Amino acid sequence: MGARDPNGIRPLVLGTFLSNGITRYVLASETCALDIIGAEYLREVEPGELVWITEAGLASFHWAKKPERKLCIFEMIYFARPDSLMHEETLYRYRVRLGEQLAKESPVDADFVMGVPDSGIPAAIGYSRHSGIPYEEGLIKNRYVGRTFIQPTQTMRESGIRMKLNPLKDVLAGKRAIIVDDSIVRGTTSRKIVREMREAGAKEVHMRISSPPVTHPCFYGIDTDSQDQLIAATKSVTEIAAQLGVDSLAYLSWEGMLAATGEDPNSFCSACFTGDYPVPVPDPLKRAKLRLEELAV
Amino acid sequence: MSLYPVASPVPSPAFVETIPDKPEEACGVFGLYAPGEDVAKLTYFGLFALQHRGQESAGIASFEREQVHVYKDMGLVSQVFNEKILRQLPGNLAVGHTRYSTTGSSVVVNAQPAVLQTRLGPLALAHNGNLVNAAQLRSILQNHNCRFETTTDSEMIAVRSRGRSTAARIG
Repeated sequence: MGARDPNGIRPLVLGTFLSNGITRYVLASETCALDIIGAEYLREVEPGELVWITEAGLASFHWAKKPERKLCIFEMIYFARPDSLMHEETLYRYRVRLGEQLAKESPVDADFVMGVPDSGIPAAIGYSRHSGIPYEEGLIKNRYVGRTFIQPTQTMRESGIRMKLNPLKDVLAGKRAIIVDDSIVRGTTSRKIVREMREAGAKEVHMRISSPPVTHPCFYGIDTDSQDQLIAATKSVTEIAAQLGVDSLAYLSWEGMLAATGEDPNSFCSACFTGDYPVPVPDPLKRAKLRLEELAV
Repeated sequence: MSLYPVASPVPSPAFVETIPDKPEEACGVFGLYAPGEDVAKLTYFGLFALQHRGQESAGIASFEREQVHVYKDMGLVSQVFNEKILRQLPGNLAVGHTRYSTTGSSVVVNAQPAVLQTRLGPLALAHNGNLVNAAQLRSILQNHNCRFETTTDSEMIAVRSRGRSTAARIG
């Protein structure tokens, strides 16, 4: 049995595969999990739908009184894998369009465009494509580290994040770089990346973000920090640019982000950018994460 | 609930340098019905592809007629399971879960699928998302003498469903 909430905030898809000549059904958060077992994508489970899978096949019930689609836009921007399908196309293609839109909205002259691996790369490709500025790899990610809980040595700690992202000095030295990332949350990693790029000899660093500033916490199953830790909740774009140490900074517009989906803009939850929560959040829970008023800034 | 592993100590995320400065996805869920297939193994690979949706814990529950087998532990999908463990999860259907905690702390008892014995048979639940009215629901259910084994919101869905269905729930 699989069920999706009346707003379909988190994704859930249905797939089929043949087993001994019989069609079998599979449920997964994303289509990438269907691909790995050789199942075909059938459709998504609709908001407010319950599907029941038995020997007889698939039965569907629409249990919610008033289903209203509010898919988490952050699933599309960052969370879900780029090879997963949403709205009948890979999220890779959506993220490339975000980059194209970003280049349209916030152009800047530079020698090359690069992405923050891995999540910033599709949008960087889109930015490059639209602007005509060549795409380069400027940071190489060690894709095998995963998370580690082993404490680094003091010397390593001072050298920062190089364990995970290593800059390509001969690409960056003396050049004006546009670096594209999908989002900024606290800004801590972005700041380190910019510092690394400067140390590697980058002459100019222009940061472009393929989503709007994250100003509000999520109450629907995403672990964003409490509001006081979100850099864009307390600082203007100019202040963030100064804190990150970039020559320029621009975020994608909220309208541009939604237009690039090609879907009804009202069918998404974008509360982390607007504070407009589609499902009412009880006050005590809200207070726990909305701590701005306690901040003496 | 046959196969609970011993809870491993949860390391503190001291090495924050390697933790990405990104919001963390809550969970990944997977489930299938396929008699004659190695459902646990298929679920393992499904979870393997959904690892980006949660790296704290992983679990699989399989159903063999009225009997449920479950294995879950802290860690990545590839660290939690091996061939031997998957062989101990036979059945016609399975549900799996990868978790990053958004409600309830990061301990093995809160790993999913949550398994309960109900009037109509065992029930396993894999849940992605947050119940915004969790505190309220918990107190209503406690007033109805429902007991909880975890501190997660997801368990309440299972408790609420108790007596209503026999099958594995996912979503």
